Amino acid sequence: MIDPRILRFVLLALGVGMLVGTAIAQDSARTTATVFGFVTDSDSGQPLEAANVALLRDGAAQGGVTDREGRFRVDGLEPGLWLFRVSYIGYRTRLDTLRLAAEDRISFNVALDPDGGLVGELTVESKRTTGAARVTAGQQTVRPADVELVPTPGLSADLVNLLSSLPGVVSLGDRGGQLFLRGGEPSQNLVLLDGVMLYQPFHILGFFSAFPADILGRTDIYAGGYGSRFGERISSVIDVNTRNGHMRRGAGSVTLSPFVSGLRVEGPLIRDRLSFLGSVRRSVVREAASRLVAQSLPFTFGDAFGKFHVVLGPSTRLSIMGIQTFDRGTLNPLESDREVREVAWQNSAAGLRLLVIPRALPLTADLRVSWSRLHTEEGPAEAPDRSSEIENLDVAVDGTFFGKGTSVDWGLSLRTIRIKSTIGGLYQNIEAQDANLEHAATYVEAKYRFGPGILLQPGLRVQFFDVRFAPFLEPRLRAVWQFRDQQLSAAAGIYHQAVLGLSDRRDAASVFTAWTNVPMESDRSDDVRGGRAQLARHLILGYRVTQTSWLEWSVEAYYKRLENLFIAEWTAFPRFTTRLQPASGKTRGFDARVETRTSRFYGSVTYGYSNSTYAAQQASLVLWYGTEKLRFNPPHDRRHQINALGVFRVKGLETSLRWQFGSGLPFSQAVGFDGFALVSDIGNIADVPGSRRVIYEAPFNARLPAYHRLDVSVERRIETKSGAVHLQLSVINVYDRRNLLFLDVFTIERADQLPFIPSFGIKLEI
Amino acid sequence: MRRSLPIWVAVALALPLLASIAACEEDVLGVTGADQPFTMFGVLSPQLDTQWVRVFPIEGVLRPEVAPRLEAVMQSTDLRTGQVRLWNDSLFQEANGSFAHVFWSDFQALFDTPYSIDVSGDQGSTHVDVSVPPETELVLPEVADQPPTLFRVDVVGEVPRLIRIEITYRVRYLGFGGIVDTEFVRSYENRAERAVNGWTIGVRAGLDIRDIARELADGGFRRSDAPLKISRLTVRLIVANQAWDPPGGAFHPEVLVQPGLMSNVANGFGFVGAGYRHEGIWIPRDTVIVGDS
Repeated sequence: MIDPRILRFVLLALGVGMLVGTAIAQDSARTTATVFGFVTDSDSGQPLEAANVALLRDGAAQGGVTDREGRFRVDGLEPGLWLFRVSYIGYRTRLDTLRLAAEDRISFNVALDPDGGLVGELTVESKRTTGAARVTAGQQTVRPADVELVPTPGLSADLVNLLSSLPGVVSLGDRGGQLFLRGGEPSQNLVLLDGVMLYQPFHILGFFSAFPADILGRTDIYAGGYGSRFGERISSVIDVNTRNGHMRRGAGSVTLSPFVSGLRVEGPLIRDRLSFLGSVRRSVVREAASRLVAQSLPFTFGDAFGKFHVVLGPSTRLSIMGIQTFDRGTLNPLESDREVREVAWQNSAAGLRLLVIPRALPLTADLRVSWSRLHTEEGPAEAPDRSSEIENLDVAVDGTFFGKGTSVDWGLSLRTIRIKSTIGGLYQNIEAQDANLEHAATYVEAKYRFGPGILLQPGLRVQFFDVRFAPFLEPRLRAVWQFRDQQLSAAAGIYHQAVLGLSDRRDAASVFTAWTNVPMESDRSDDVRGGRAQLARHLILGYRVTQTSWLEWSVEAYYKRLENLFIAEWTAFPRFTTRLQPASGKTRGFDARVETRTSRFYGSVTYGYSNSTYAAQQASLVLWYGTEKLRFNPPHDRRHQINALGVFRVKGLETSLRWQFGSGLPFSQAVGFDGFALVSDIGNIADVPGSRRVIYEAPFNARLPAYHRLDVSVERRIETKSGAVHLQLSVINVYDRRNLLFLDVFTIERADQLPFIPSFGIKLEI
Repeated sequence: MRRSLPIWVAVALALPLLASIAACEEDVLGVTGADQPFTMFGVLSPQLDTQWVRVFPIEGVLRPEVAPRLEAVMQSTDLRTGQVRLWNDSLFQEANGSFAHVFWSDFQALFDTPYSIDVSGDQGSTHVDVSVPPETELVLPEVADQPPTLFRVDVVGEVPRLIRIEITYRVRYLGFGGIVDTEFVRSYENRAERAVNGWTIGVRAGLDIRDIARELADGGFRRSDAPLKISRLTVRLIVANQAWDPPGGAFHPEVLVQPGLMSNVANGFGFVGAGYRHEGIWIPRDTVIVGDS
């Protein structure tokens, strides 16, 4: 039964949407015509984003560019004869004439033919939309070609390798599947796959994720300052969109390597109407790669993805996708005489997306129904003692209203969330939890263009969480000023999050995340989470210069203020079962990026400076340290990061080198270990249960050694009659740097990241 | 015209290679090591025939499941008489599997006497001075039909502190299943006040009994109009030395576990207190109090 407050909220949101639509539509619709449709590649049927659509008459032009689905809509066309032109770099321009009458609503889908003779040159010379330095107010677009530049063992290019190369993105090592973006925790990152929320999509071995390059379309990464379309997370957004299966012919590939083996198939089920894209990968690290290094690599993971894309009609498209991932392994050194604890997680998700260009309304619309679930557990392999499950069902609609010189995005989302955890008193003494939550959100965001170079994007998101009766208001603003080859950009916004992912960051080997909610505030409960939805404020300022056609550089500064974080209370007991304490945090820093690309060489160097500070509030702090707030740098506070990537193409060989450097992460140094027995009564102290104790210097007082590593791959593509064969030789950690994964200060046991690993891969493509 | 690769790009790419040549291992210091050799916990009391002090060596590695080697000697000195006693070591295994070295000495600590305890080993010695408080007398109100609304408890004698002050009310009432006898404990921690000849605790017996009656009624254990009989009132407290003073008066292990907190040990960590228990029982002649009245 839906809460009546949410029903009222939905009605209000719909009312706002209609109001916006009416205002944008104005009164010209009855005297003018509209042309709309999809622009696709005639060979593959893939939508073409950013294709130019223009209607020309008497020297005047109206039109725009296609969106990421290849959609366009041109309203307000005066009746008469128009020249209709669709152009896109690397494709033959399509010209037609259209005779339009008042109130005409013409659907006109265009399939552009690739211009084989021009593609190669023009790709290099064309205006780029992606690249290491091409960042706009925290937003960076990534395409599969960018992902494939980064060396990956086993010819299995993966989005996570590119992500971990970005300044401001911190991973705690090459395993664990945890990414921190500009100071935000992994659970504060919104990861969407075709609009479906995924909770823990990065595999336990850091080179792989649920996003192989083979299935990717466009990915947008917002390191902060994201617009009103996104909500429910306070740090960042990774918005992954997959491509569609080939509409004209069957295709596929098989990949074999000591790390992962994979299979991809795609093709038309009904030519030009229904396509399928499927990908399956499974790790063989445990069985094969571990032999290359004579070291146990106890990781098993895999993923399976499938997507159907249907052309339902001239102005309607339907996509149905599903994904399943699994991970299992241990991060403790197996040589340790301690109990071996395994962590495991499975993502399951499915989504349905309907793309519509309504005839009667001046908008394009996306209707989405999605479901996803994460199950995670930790403990002895046969009998895990902690588990957490989060599941959500989301129904959403997004619309874009088109007006003259402006457009307005509007959306509404209703999400039900179920959380079920058994965490053995790990946090807040919560033993088990079973909660059902209802979230609702609506947003309005306008795009105003002033002159040729200024874009202003103010927005407001209104979110309704169970934490309190009143909704959370989130104003946001993005602004871009493009002048010649330079660009200034800025973003600011307020963000809230009511679902928490609790992890004990003091133990780097514990990647178990317990999902829980923020309960309503109550006088009867001493739950520190009560009524405190996580809150973040972002501010970003960036400057970018396209120096020449082959050189681009940018700098970007950012500031994030985080409130209502919940972290484990500090304790001298050598255990990780404790209560939560509230904390606030701030992260500030800057990125500098430079990128060059020619036909034979690609290179990028990025530097990131970041400074994260948490201030914890624990009642005992006054007694222990004489202060009410304990300020410290959290374990993901990597101050300096350098990433250098070079790709050389010589005589059919593509050689990729990636070097990464990261300064040391904070950890808590111990002075020594003794014990503790509570002296609270007269008697034999032997009768008092004792406990071992850690004598710490101070929380997070020291830093682990710096991390750096060089990875190299050499790849050759050999064309065959039926397709191509890719051969790859790769080396991870070329100079065998002994990078620390984590240090167990209790036992002085260290676990290192992957050593020097030579590898190979073969990929057969048809 | 094709332009050659800029020098800075080549340099930027060469840097990692140079760094790779210069790569060197970096050790990390997880445990800095302590100058202090031992941690001690225990209590000296005239009420114990044998005195016990638990000793933890301060180690560089945490291995709870391994019995720690402890080559140490403990001795105590009566600072009044100069009498020195050598203590014996014993090894216990706790329910959780961890081991404990507990030193013991077969003597009764004396009232109003300072002691010095030293534990010495190869790494050095740890020391603590402990003063046993003087003897006192617990004085309760005269026996009456019912406890006075303000139930005054006196501890007669000059002692530094009173801790763990608890009043236990034994009540009898007619519950829904018959007559019930039960006990309620009320803490009077930090409620003792200095008096001319010791300490006074003003026990608000009237308010406590009313709260108990309401608690039973609210919990559905007793009809609100049923009588509630106080059958016994027990006062328990510990007369403690000056050092036995937890912050805020609470013995909360999550707070006190922090090294250095409530510690009186020199060149080491931990706490050794001294004191003794007082317990007084007050039984009314025949008292009936109606709750909620």
